[in-house]
Amino acid sequence: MREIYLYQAIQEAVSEEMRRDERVFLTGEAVGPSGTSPTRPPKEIMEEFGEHRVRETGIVEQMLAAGSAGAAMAGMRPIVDFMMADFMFPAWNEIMQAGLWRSGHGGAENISIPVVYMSGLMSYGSGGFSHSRAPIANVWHGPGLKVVLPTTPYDTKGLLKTAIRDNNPVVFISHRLLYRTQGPVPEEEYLIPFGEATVRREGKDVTIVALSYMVNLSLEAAEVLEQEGISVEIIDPRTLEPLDINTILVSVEKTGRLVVVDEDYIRCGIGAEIAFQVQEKLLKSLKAPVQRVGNLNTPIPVASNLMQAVMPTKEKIIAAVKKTLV
Amino acid sequence: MTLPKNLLQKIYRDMIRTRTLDYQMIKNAQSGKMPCGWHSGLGEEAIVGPVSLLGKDDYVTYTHRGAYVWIAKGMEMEDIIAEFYAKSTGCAYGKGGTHIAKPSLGIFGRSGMQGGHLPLAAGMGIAAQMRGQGQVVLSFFGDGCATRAPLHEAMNYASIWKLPVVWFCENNGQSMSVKQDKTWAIKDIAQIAGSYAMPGKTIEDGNDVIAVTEAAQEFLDRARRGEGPALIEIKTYRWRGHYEGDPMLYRTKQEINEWMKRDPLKRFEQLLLAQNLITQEGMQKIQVEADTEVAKAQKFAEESPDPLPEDAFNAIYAT
Ligand SMILES: Cc1ncc(C[n+]2csc(CCOP(=O)(O)OP(=O)(O)O)c2C)c(N)n1
Ligand SMILES: [Mg+2]
Repeated sequence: MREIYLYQAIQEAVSEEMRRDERVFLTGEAVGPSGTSPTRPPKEIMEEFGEHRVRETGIVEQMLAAGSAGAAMAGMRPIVDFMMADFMFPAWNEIMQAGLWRSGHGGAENISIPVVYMSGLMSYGSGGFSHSRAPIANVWHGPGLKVVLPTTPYDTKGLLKTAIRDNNPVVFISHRLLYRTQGPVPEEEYLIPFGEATVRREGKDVTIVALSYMVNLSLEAAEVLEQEGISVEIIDPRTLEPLDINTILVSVEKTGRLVVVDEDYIRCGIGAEIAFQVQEKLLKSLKAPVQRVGNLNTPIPVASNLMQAVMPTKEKIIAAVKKTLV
Repeated sequence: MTLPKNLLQKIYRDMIRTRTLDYQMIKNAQSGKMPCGWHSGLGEEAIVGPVSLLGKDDYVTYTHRGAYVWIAKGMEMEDIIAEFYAKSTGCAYGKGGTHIAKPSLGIFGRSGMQGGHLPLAAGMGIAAQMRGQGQVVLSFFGDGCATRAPLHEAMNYASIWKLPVVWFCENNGQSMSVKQDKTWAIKDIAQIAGSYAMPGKTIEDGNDVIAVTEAAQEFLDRARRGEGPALIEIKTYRWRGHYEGDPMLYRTKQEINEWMKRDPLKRFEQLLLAQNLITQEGMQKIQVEADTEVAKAQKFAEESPDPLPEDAFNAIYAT
């Protein structure tokens, strides 16, 4: 099978869906053909779709978020590219609100808000307290949104196409450290349903739950642990809303041990939620307390050694796994 | 006068209907039996005129004083009153309350975040433009909410993209208890239109139904022709407090009385009478019909069943 970069998987998903459905349009900062967004469509596509369907903007996050919700309620299917994930913050009210409209209307006349809010995590760079933030738990917290964090090019394309066809607001978060990773992606059309976790690595001693770039860090940690005779299973939920808790439960039932790795702030985070759901069902199967690896509730520093102290690392994942084994 | 006779008669009827509804809702709010609060629009009903120029397929956004918009756009009284009573028969089945919505009439609700609906309106303009069937968006907002940032983002992009949106500022000089001299450095908010390279017009006498409607007609036609957005500001006044129960420490009885003398409805009525577009008997008949309509809807709302507890979870996601 051919291999493509993850950013190409995004471009393919966007352009294929735009070709398939004329209600789909792309908007955001620097999404034009000479733009700097990793998700910008290639030149020919801009020419193919024209300026009504590729709406490049300046810095207008509230307009992007609410404007697209308005267009969606009025029958279009917008894809918004916020570029960096922390650019969702200026539009926080609007993104949260997108999840409220349908229920707030009581679902009257089966109204739908088919909008995709795309962005990329910028962590492990020099973004510091601002651009290095990973507002994942924040979007999972509010009702009415779906939340997708793909890891591989294959998943990115299949999940993004599903997101664009979904009739609800979907927050789709990729990762800057994954844009230039390669992977097999078939030429033929395929979709990946939401709410289906995938087992990234099979193992028998400890379960790790991780998404996006945290999967790659966890895979590296698992390699090291393997040398030491510790067998790690890695579950990638791929979507947080809906969450495939069953695949996680099946794995934890087998291993009896769980580590959740998450690059958002650890407090009130993904690890807390997943640990809670697991203990609720499997308290008796757990052989050790659940461990969390996450960002330690500190504004993220720029200096590499300080950043390593705050953010998840391979070493911290290894230590957390071992802690479940003592 | 270029506005057709039957349009003027429709405007008059809907002004009577919305005022009758408003008085009923004031009573309901005071009774303590209606779970949602009421923001009265008494005194600002000239807005019925512009809304009456829209077709069913056009879009509107409204403010928290939106009764005149819902009525003139064609909503049923039952839909509205039952929703304010949070009953299962309301337009959002008791889940939305004041955030009235009727998607099939181009009414997509309003959030409690003042000003947040302005980019939403621009987005409806994107949809209208992409569809290319001459639909327009008429977006109402107050002078108070207009100081928020979303206004800038929405107006800027509506202009850049030449979206078919007519911005309509209901300038009653108040943002809750705060007067305009503390919320704006300028007096005429329509002045900002120039900054977005769109036409703007301040209608000093915003209680002149004809002037307000004609201005809207001009800009709506322009938007339908694909020539882009425009901004209308009307100077008007809310007779009631910000909410029912507002002690109104920020204004005098005299100020209120002065404005009540400029009642948009009474003035419009005199004009119609003078032009023989309506008779005394005709007026009475319209009022009686409105009273009956509101009373029937009120009874319907009061007697309707509450939603079921499980309804809280039933419409979060579309399939
Ligand atoms: C973001 C936000 N801040 C504050 C409020 C509280 N609030 C509700 S209505 C209002 C005044 C709005 O004034 P204006 O837009 O002029 O409308 P008017 O009440 O005069 O019709 C305020 C401040 C709010 N609803 N939303
Ligand atoms: Mg005001």
